[in-house]
Formats: sequence, structure tokens, C-alpha cells
Amino acid sequence: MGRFMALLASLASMALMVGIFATPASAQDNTRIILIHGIPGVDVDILANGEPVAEEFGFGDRIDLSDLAGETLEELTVLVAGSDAVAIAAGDVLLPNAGNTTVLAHLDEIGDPTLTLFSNDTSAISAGEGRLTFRHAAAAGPVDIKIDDAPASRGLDNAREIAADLRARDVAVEVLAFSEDGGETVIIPKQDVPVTEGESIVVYVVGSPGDNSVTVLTDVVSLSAAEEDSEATTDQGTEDEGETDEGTDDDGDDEDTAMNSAPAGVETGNSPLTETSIPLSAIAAVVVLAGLMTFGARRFTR
Amino acid sequence: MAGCTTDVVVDIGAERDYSFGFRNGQNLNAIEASAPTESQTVARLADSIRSLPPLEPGAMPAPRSVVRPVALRAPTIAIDTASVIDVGVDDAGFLEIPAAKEVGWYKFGPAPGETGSAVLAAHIAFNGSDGIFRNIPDLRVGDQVTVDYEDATDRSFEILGIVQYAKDRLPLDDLFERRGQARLVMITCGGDFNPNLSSYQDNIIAYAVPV
Repeated sequence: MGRFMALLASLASMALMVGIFATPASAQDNTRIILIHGIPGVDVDILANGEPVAEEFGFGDRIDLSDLAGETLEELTVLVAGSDAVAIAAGDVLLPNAGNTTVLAHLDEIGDPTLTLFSNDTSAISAGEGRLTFRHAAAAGPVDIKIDDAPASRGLDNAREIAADLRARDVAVEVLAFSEDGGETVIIPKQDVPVTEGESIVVYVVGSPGDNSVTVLTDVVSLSAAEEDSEATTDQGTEDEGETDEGTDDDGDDEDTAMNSAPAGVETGNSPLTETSIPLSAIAAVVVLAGLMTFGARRFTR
Repeated sequence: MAGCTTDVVVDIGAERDYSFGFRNGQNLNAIEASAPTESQTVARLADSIRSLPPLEPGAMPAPRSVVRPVALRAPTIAIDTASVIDVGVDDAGFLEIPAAKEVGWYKFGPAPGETGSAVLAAHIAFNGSDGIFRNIPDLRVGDQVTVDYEDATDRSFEILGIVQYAKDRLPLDDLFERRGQARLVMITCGGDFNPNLSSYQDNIIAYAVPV
């Protein structure tokens, strides 16, 4: 084979190899809507369109409404489970048709049950960092949040949030509320929260100081149902996490749905080589065997 | 090798603010009892709803459990047993690289053998001495390397290819991708050395898959 043909052959083979090592194609639309029950001490039934959405739904429970994106939940009503007592009469609720959303049932500032839609930021997170979000969803006035003993937020209102991308590590978090006489009360005693690299963690401060039920519900923002399933199990990623992808397409759609980012570069050398051996730039870039062809047909799946 | 690699803009020197630069909240919408323009009745609502594991009040997400690599053996390139240490990124966002004779494993990505692309990186030359990855360019397709793990197990990986990229064309997103088939990339530097920058022009990548 002439040198040019040899180069062509090696380029084709490299394309196959690069295919294996390339970023995966996105399977489907990533609209996410998760409903969380954030009111301690009461199980609820949720109705919409005259039908049950959830029954005996307990504090901390979640359901995935992503398949209803863009739909309207008519006369959405939250009842105390097994009764006609209405906790929340939300009327007609139009679910978002895009984005990543959490719908939270929680107590408002004066302790009445309410529903809030929170939009989750799924933009890229820099390498080495994790995203941390606090949402005030407790029956209290504005709260102050401390991180590692330093003030991170002052006067955060109920149904509002603060967020930041931080270097991945455990941070010590404390939440303070203020009584009518201006006195400060710790409603979430200092505890560690893991800022997790490449992930977005949301801490909901929920409950009521009045009955000592203030606590946190901590959720990890997920981008897809498959990801949610893999997080549900505590088995860590091994090769058998290669679940079948739902409709992987090979048409070159490479929308990236992961939030984590690669490092900026790899600097693996700061002095010249000690030997005057073959200059590396003269080495053919690709050396590929026919064995690679066996991988050609297998695009990787999640 | 123009045309074969993905153009990647390497964001060198981007600011990394590690202070608590909290930004104001996103747009939050309290539920409004708004009349929809057109209501869509959803047949069998329950069929469209999936259950999810509940959140445990007061609990934090479980930490990742991973069996870390601790050593690398690559006899075909004169690596008898090299220590592998966990590395992250430095303040400029670049992969941290250990000292000349150690191999860094990117701890935020998969361990070799887990789902996704596991990254091992080491110097080709450092402070006047040969780096432990000095002979990566001599790897040949079909060569095997073995990773030893902290639980005394090991796994072998077979080299599929070796590619040299100009640094500004390095396919970083692919090399550090955490999804897909378990695979291993070994990264070092190559090409012309720029004495003014004390840096090499290119990166050399050895691609491998579990045997």
C-alpha cells in the first residue's frame, strides 16, 4: 500500500476508535419534573383531573412527573390522606414543557401548606466543583445561612433559594431564623453537606420551628430517568451499569446532558527529554490493528 | 492529524472563584391558579407518573463508594510497578499531575474498569528527569497494562491505539467522559518542547479497554 493509502486506512480505523471513546449521543428530551412532599407529619393524597396523582404520599416521598411536561394538572388538590381535608387547593397547574423543575409541597412563612415550582440550574459545572443550592421551605421568616462558619446568605425568604458552585468538599452548614423579638434561633444545627464534584445538590429546609419539626431534605438534581435509577441503587458504577439506552441514535446528535466538565488540560512534562531518541513528532500518530474492527459496530451505551 | 479530532477549546486560565459567590435565586414561580389557554386532559394520569426513591429527612446523599487504583504495571514500557495516586484539578482547572515517578488517577472520574473513561496521567519528563510515562509512545496495539486496586484485586487492559494531539485539539470532553463503556486512557505529553513555556506542544494518549 502506498503511504497515502496506509494513512487513509489508519485514519478510518482511528475514526472507529475515537467513536468508542467519544461522548455519547443523548437519547431523548431531558425535561424533568419531580414532585417532592416537604411537609413533615402528614401523609397526603394528591388529585388532579379528578384522578389520583399520589396516594398516602409521605414526607420526603417523590414522584416523577416528567412525562406530563407541558400538561395542565386541572384542579390540583392536596388532601390529608384518607380524608376530605384540603391542605392545598392549587387550581389548574401548567407543568413546564422544558427545563429541570422541582415541585415542592411545603409550609409557607406562616405555616400554611403551599406548592412552589423551583427551576434547577443544569448548566455545566467546572471541573473540581459541585453545585450547592439552599431552598427555604420552612415555616419561618427570612433565614440566614452559614457555611463553614461564614455567612453565605442573609435574609433568605421562604420559597427563595441561594446557589453557588464550590470546590468539591464537605462544608459545614448552619441555618438561623429570627424570632419576633429579633432573637436568633438555630433551626438547622451545624452539619456537613457534601459538595459533590460534577453534581448539583439541593438542600430544602423544611418543617416548622413551632413544633420542632425543622429538618432538611436533600436532593440530587438528576438529568434523566436512567440516571435517577442508577442513583437509586447503592451499587456503584461497574460495567454492568451499561443499561440499554432508550433509543440511542447514531445520527451524530451529541447533545451533552451531563453537568460535569473536563479539566482544562493535561500538562505532563516541564523539561525536555533527556535522550536524543526519535523525536516524538515524527512518530506516526495512529497505530491500529484489525482487532479494532470488532468494536466498530458497538456504539457505546450508557 | 487535522480533521480526525474534535475541535475543543481548552479554557486555560479561566477564573475559578472559590469564595462564596452566592448569586441571587433563580426565577421562582409560586403556583398560580392560572386558567390555561387550553387544558389537556391526560388519559390515565397514573400511567404517566413514575415513583422515585424517597428522600430521608435529615440525611445527606450517600458518598460514592469506589475501589481506587493504587498501582500500574506496564512491562512493555519498562513500568514494573508505578504508584497511582488520586488527583483532582489545580486552581487553574488543569489536571493535577504528581511527581515524576508517580501516576495520577483522576479521582472525579471513574476508576479503571468502571463505567466511563478512566484517566491515568503522568509526566513524560519532569524537572530534568524522565517521567514514569517516558515510554508511552512506545506502547503498541495489543500491549497489556495492569491496574492494581486498593482491595488487592487487579485488572488488565489492552491498548487499542496511541494518538498524538496538539494540545489545543485535545478532545478533553471525550477523554474525561464518565458515561459509556468502561475504558482507560493514559495521558502524557509529546511533540516539540517549548523551553520558554517549559511545556510540550502535544499530548499523547494511549487508549485501552478491559481485557
